[in-house]
Amino acid sequence: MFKIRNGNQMIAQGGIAAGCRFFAGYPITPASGIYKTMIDELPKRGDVAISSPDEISALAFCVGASQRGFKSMTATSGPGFSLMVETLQYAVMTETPLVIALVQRLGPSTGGATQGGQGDVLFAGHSIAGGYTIPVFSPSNPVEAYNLTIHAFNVAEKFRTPVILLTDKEVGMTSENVDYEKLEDAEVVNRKYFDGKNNQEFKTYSFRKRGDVPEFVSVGGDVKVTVTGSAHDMAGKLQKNSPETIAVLRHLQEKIAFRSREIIRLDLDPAPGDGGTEDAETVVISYGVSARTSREAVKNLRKRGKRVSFLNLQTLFPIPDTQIVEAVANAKSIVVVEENMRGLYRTQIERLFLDKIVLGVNDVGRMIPPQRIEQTVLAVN
Amino acid sequence: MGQIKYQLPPEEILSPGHFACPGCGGTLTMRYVLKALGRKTVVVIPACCWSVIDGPVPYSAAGVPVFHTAFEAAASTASGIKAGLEMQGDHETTVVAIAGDGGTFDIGFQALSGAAERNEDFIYVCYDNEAYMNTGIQRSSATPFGAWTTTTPTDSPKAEKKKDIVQVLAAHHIPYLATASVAYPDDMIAKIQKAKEIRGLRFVHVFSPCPPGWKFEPEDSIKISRMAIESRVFPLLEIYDGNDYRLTHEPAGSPVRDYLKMQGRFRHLKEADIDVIQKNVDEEWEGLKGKLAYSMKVHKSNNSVRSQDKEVSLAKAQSRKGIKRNVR
Repeated sequence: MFKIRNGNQMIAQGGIAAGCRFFAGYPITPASGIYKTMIDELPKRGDVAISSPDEISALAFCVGASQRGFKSMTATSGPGFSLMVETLQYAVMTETPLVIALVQRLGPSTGGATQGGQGDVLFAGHSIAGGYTIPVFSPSNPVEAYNLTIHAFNVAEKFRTPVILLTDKEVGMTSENVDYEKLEDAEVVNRKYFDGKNNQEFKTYSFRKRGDVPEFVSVGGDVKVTVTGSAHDMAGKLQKNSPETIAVLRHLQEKIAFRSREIIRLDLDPAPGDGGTEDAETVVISYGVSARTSREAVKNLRKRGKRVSFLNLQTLFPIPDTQIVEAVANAKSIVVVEENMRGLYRTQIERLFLDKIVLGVNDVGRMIPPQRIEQTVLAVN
Repeated sequence: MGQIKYQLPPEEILSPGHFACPGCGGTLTMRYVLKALGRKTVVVIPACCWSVIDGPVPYSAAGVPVFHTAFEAAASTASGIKAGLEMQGDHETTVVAIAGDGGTFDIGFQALSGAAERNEDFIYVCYDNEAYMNTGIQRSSATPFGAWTTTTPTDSPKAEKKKDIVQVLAAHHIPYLATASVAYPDDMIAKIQKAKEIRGLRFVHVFSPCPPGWKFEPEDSIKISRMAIESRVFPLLEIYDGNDYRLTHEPAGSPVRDYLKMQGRFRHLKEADIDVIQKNVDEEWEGLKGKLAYSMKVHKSNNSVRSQDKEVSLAKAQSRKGIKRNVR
């Protein structure tokens, strides 16, 4: 079955499929379509879609709803995300599961409200003071938007963390034929609740071993829950630098870093030939809207007999170091395609390789045509 | 019906060729504000329709310097610009923040409330088109009860009343507060000119029709504005120091139904809904009449129609404390 849909609509649908029951929205181009779809869909199901007076409130709404046990989501673009960052950090500290769809537009500041861009990639990945990693997923078309939204909710629930779905104006707002057969019937993951068995005492942030995720109890019930954005011990008691507090701070990073394989999803299209990636001379790496033109360029290059692999980075953070190294294997060159000024994500890839040519294809304020990618690959292949 | 001739300042500071939709109330607001204030004016706008209407630099239509700031920051940026001008010894230039209802009632409210409480010395004009129009008609806290927007669809139109921003600002005891309409340009320009002569925070709330957002034909913009005023949906007022109320135009009290029926955004309303809206308008009007009567008694002000007594207001404003800045 085919339907005409855009990425924004499919993010909203993916969210609903993942069990999202609360959405707080504030209008901003190019993300308003998610807000609109949620306003149309959630109330019909007896769920809540709410209009907030600004982006600070929008994310704080989600924190509140999530701490009451509801899967929650909001959607915004660069200027609105800037306002959300304080509450995003609060969500990291309080281990609150939620999903933010960040539909990028041209920045900085107001930037180009109706122009696309991929300039928020490092901002999204590095928005937490102290350098904590929050998962960032990046769909490049409506099908991926749906599938990755479910994955994003599952990761948020499993790891009790905020998750960012990073798309861009073109992926969000371009309507196209969507093959519903390709939508995954993925298993929906729910956060683990504390069951109180064996009369064990509940501590809001307790974990037994490193990489564990604390069990959840919603606020306002029979069990005392201490939710705080201040540095705290396992019980949620404010402490500056007791050993247990430091262990809790480390745990916030370790639960993501130690278990990154459970989080990372990639879409690798290996070079044709017996060895796949082993045979590739060049690997093109991209994400979001640029992944689409990259795919086209790779197709054209293969027609010319070039051995090229394509890696669509559906996961940007935690950085899929190992997976990138494996995908590149014996290739001599890597071409990273992204619609921002300095090759932002390329800086995260370059550091992995000392013996390979890493080139960037970049632009600002306009999409990158396949021809430019082909020219760059042909220069080294 | 006879033609009405207004005596307006002849100079057109706003140029044609701007990016507004036909029949835009926000654009007429800017035109009249600039006519009233003259060229020695700095305009501060946050994200709003005007951030598009002005056109891309260098093709600015406004005819005066326009400072485009972040969505939540119009009042703070205007405060900063005014402080900067004062520090440079420029006490002449008028600073005016012009923002939509989203940037005033919602995301910009914290900055506006702070500026009002500190009684910062600038004019704040809100052109209120009763929703987030620039991003595609999403409800704001200025959207009236019963209205359709894309986020308050016809099967569940807005259930809450419009935020009464005039009362909220009056509660900040600012020296001058007025409501105005693009259908009454003489009244509006007189109010802006009066505001220009007063020091401290002056707030002007302009009823600003939006043809694409309210779903009516652009040529009906002025007619709809006039019906809003005549039906008492939007009374034309002045409030001095937050408690001295004056009516500047006696509305005819025409049925609210006639005003609502002209707009697609109210088309889904049932008779019972319209009765509720009429009842709300009547109640608000009674409340306002009480305030006007109280003002008449306490302030002994001339409460007749179109009372615009410049001397009284100037004397009042100058008697206020705390509006002088220490400039070194």
